[in-house]
Amino acid sequence: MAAAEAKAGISLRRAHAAEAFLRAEALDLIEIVADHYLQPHPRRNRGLAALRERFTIVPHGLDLSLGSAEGLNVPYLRALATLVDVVRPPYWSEHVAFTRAGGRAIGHLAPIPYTDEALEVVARNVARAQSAIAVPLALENIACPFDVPFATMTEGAFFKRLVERTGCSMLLDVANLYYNALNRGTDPFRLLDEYPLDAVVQCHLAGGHRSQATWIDSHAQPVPEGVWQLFENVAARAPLKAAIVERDENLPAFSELAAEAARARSIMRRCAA
Amino acid sequence: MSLRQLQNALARLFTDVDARAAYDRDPGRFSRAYGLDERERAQLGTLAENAIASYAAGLIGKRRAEALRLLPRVRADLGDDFARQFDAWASRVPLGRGPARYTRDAAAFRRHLLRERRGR
Repeated sequence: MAAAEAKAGISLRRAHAAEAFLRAEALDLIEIVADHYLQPHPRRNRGLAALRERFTIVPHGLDLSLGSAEGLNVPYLRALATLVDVVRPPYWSEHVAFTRAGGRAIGHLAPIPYTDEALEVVARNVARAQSAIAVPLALENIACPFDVPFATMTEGAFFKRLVERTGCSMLLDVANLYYNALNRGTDPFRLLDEYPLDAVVQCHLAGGHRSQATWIDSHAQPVPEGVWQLFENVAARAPLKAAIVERDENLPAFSELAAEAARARSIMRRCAA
Repeated sequence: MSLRQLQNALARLFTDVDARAAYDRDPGRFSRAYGLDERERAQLGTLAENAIASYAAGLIGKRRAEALRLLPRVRADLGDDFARQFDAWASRVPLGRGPARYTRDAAAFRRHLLRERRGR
């Protein structure tokens, strides 16, 4: 079950930065997109220092490419290690996906086939990342509207073996799991049983939209009731330390996101009682 | 199956409209060029017909959203035509690498528009 002191916050976007300081008591922690802070810049450095003084910060990577057979994005890893040194977070997180191959940047998180070979590749890349960054790493599941061919196991089974192999914890993106299940016509609660819930330390919560026949995890809407229900199920079973609300499009007022974070906190505290 | 070969093929299909057309015309030839054998080609073919195209459209949509944010004057200038022009350009120009890739992407699109105007 969730830890009694489990924290709730938001993934910070520039539009909400000022209000986050003014209403800091509404957030227990914040997540920052690491990519926004990898290039040193005096103003950015000052902003980061101010955030660091007020909040517990969790850096969230997008482009390390842990699933790349050609290895990690090394310049990105170096910059990420510097950021983690500055921020001193309790842990950091990155996706199990690939973002480049054959000299091409894909520009987003692309799915890997869940095979023994992919498990070896990701475990090797994670070990390399762990040797550069001593702070614990939480591995996140991605949203993908289709299954990559060649898979020999489910995503949940893959993560179970991966966390055993690497000693990492898991950042379970509940919205990704929910929309993946909807797109495949499967029951998200049944899918949830396949994941290593005893290793899940953080959840992501977000709302997507439907485009024609496909659900897109666009982070453009409030967290839907189906995701809240699934989150409550996770909070009752996983040793959650934190939950983060993500919103990238149709940015609402800060108070709306703070209210969603408060709801997540309330669910975790209720489940911990 | 080699994961590296599969990822090279998928990265190309996700980001290059000409590669998708080549795959649609002759999946066998495309797969062989990426080192995939007949069985692997058949497995790649099990992807839903529109899966790669819709994933690729999503990637361009993400680039477009960043460009819209970064180029407010171009957005105002082009109005509803921004999406059509950006998508046509981005489908043939791959996204760069590195943390500032979306900024460079938007700048490259702006330069493309300027070249187009001068060329008229």
